[in-house]
Amino acid sequence: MKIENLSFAYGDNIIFDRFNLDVQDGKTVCIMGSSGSGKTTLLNCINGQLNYEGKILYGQNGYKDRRRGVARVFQQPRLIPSMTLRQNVLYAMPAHMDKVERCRRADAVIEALKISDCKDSYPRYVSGGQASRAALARALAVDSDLLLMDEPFKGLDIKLKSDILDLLQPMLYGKSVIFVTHDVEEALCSADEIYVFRKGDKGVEVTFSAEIAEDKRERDMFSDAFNGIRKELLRALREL
Amino acid sequence: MSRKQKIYRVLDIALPALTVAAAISVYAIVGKIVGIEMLVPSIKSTFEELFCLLANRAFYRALTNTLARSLTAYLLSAVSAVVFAALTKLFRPVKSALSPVIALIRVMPTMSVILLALIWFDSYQSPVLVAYCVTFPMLYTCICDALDGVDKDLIEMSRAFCVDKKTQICKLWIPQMAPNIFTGMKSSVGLNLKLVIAAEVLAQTAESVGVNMQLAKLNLDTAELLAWTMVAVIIGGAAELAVSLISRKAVKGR
Repeated sequence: MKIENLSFAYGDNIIFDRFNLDVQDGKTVCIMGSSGSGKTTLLNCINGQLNYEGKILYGQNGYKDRRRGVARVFQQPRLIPSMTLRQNVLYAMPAHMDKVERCRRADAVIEALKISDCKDSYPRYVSGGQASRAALARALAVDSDLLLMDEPFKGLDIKLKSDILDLLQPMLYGKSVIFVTHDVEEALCSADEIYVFRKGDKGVEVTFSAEIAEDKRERDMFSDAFNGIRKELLRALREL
Repeated sequence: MSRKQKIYRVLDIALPALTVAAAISVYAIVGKIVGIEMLVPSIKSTFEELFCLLANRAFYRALTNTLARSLTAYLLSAVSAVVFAALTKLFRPVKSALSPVIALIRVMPTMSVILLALIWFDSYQSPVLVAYCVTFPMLYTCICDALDGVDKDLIEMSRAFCVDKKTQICKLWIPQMAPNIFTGMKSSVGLNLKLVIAAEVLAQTAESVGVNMQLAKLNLDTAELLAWTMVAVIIGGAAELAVSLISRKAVKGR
């Protein structure tokens, strides 16, 4: 996915001014930064929910279609209260897809994220962790090329967060992911590239960027290399 | 179920029954004190009158006519409330254009509506118009509030996943709006019947519950008047109960 000369403003408040970003296929890009620095706005532009200027190109052939092949996880699970978790997963899947195939795929993702035991429960009756996993299942079941995640683990404890990340990692292979987070460890263990955004007078500025070449499955989070990136990242975040 | 919950459940059934029993006892005592059957008829004679009505074919004709009028008014109100509320949601200026009309109908005394309807329409149509004029603004406001109450985050989520409009309406909008709409329906369905009967009394609509009540009053047959009242109360109560039961079935996951 390629973002070229993206410009967007809320009234006089310029958020993006000819902003550029490249997301290579199958890579996870983590975006960090202070609140109000344009992270969620960027996801909204990519998702086609805002009218922006510039180009957002998807796919290998660079076709421009805002909606095609995009799945999203929001800060809150945003599950429909009148539907069970399974029905919520099915709700977001394309209507043109064969019904049997839809059910098969939804059940497979539900199983992989270990929420089978509560798939027929209503959101009100499940825990925060189960609701978050249902929201992830909904996005993964769509089977898109591009996944947008906006602080999906906000409010979850460290143990639950790392359990979900462990379940999630194998399912993200081959997908391009834009992952907005405030958590350094979340970014370090899941990102191929990390960017730190700051809101300047003329829109968003990237104050830090790092590439992590090491395979996600074999990362030693306490190695010297990671400690180095961690230090630089923390410094960049403190300077915001 | 805990012991406390069991106690509350028993009280939920027992207390209304006790209240009804108390009200009937008070009525019987007042009847004894007054001692005039024509003013405060005994419970026995009221029930005798009710059974007399139930055995009479004219009673069913009057009841059917009144219920048909009430249903017509309610359906017309519901359909137009849905149409206008949808238009309001789709085109904001419709709300501004409709607001003075809705405000006027809402504050207009019911008696004025009844009297004007009697001048402009015949005695068969005016009860329908009167009930429509009162029920429509209630349902319209309730549907508008329900439309505004649909969770914006869920709408945004549906758009993000490109969920088609039909699925959004059936699986998101209607279930989200249902609790508000059922609350409005519950309060308006009984009122609708009451208004039709009130208009029938004043319009002297032939073969109706209202005109039979008026005749009973003119004949000083209080027992028959009370019997007709019981019929109206039972029908209105049943309608409210039906809405409650449907709402309990329809509103899931809350």
